[in-house]
Amino acid sequence: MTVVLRTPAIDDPALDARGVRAALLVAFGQVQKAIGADEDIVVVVPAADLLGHRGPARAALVGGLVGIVRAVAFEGARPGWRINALALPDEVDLSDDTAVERVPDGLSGQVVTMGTALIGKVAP
Amino acid sequence: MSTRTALVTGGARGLGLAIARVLAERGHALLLVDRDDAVVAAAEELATDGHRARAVVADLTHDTGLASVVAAAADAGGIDVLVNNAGITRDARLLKMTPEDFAAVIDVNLVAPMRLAEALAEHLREGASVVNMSSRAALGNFGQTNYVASKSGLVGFTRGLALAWAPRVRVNAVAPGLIDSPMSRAMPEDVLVGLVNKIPAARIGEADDVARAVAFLASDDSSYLTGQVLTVCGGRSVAP
Repeated sequence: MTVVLRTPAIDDPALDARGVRAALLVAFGQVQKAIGADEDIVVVVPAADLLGHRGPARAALVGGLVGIVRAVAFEGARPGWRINALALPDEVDLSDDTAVERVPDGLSGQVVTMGTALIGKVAP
Repeated sequence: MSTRTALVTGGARGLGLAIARVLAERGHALLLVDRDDAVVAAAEELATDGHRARAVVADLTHDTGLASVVAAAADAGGIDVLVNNAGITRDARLLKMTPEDFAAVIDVNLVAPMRLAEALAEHLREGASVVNMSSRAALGNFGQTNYVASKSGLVGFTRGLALAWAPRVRVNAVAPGLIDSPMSRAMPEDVLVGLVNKIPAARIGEADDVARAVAFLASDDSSYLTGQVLTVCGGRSVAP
């Protein structure tokens, strides 16, 4: 089974540093719980926040979430198990589970970026 | 001689002090910030060498510490260079890492730089440069979920702030790899040798390697750079 993590704070226009802290702490607990249950994990984030297009606080939060994904993938790498970040474009609802189903097997520790908005930009 | 003022956090020792010294040698007046009062002696040492350095003992995870740094910046007449260098580690495997260990690292390495930058916004002079100290570990590291999250978060913050503050202020990050430090010297020799063998530059980094990269981003030599991450790791981040 795949656990899908979404962080409501990402869409809070008033998000600040303390909000980033709180959201990362929640995500950390969710990832720990999922790892303890040996579940695959997908962390869903807005692609626009990978490069800070919606402000520094949201970018810090998404950067932190991607960091969790990479660190956990690094530590927990083993055949068949996976944790990834799925970055969705503006036109896709973050709650859309069909997008999650499109993350390919065999990937772990990756940022899977859907859509075309970041073509030509720094690879996040 | 430049009259630019640089504020360096975590300036009592190690990388922060090395950055401060290089900036001082390039003509900056310094505000050295650290929660350890050893920062006072560090500033005195720089002053003995003929540099302009003032120490601020402050814990940036607390409102009072933040306020005292902002007051010092105002007293200095403004800041030209802000180096968010202060950082900590509390390593543990994921399932053994406590929420307290996770939060402590996020507080110092990510939340404090975010709050300091925002608090200093009105004190940053036109053309100022912010340099956030990330890490090559932001790309992933063993037993450091908290540290990796904090340093990757700082990269995100760097990009977002660069866009938000352009063109008045530039914001970049430096991501050091393995650097000679008390922490690296404490590693078992075979572990350290193994790590160095993975570095294309075939040596461990020195604090001055990082300090010079920070000085470049702080200077007008990098005036067309913003929102970027300069990885100072001897090529480790691209090696197999």
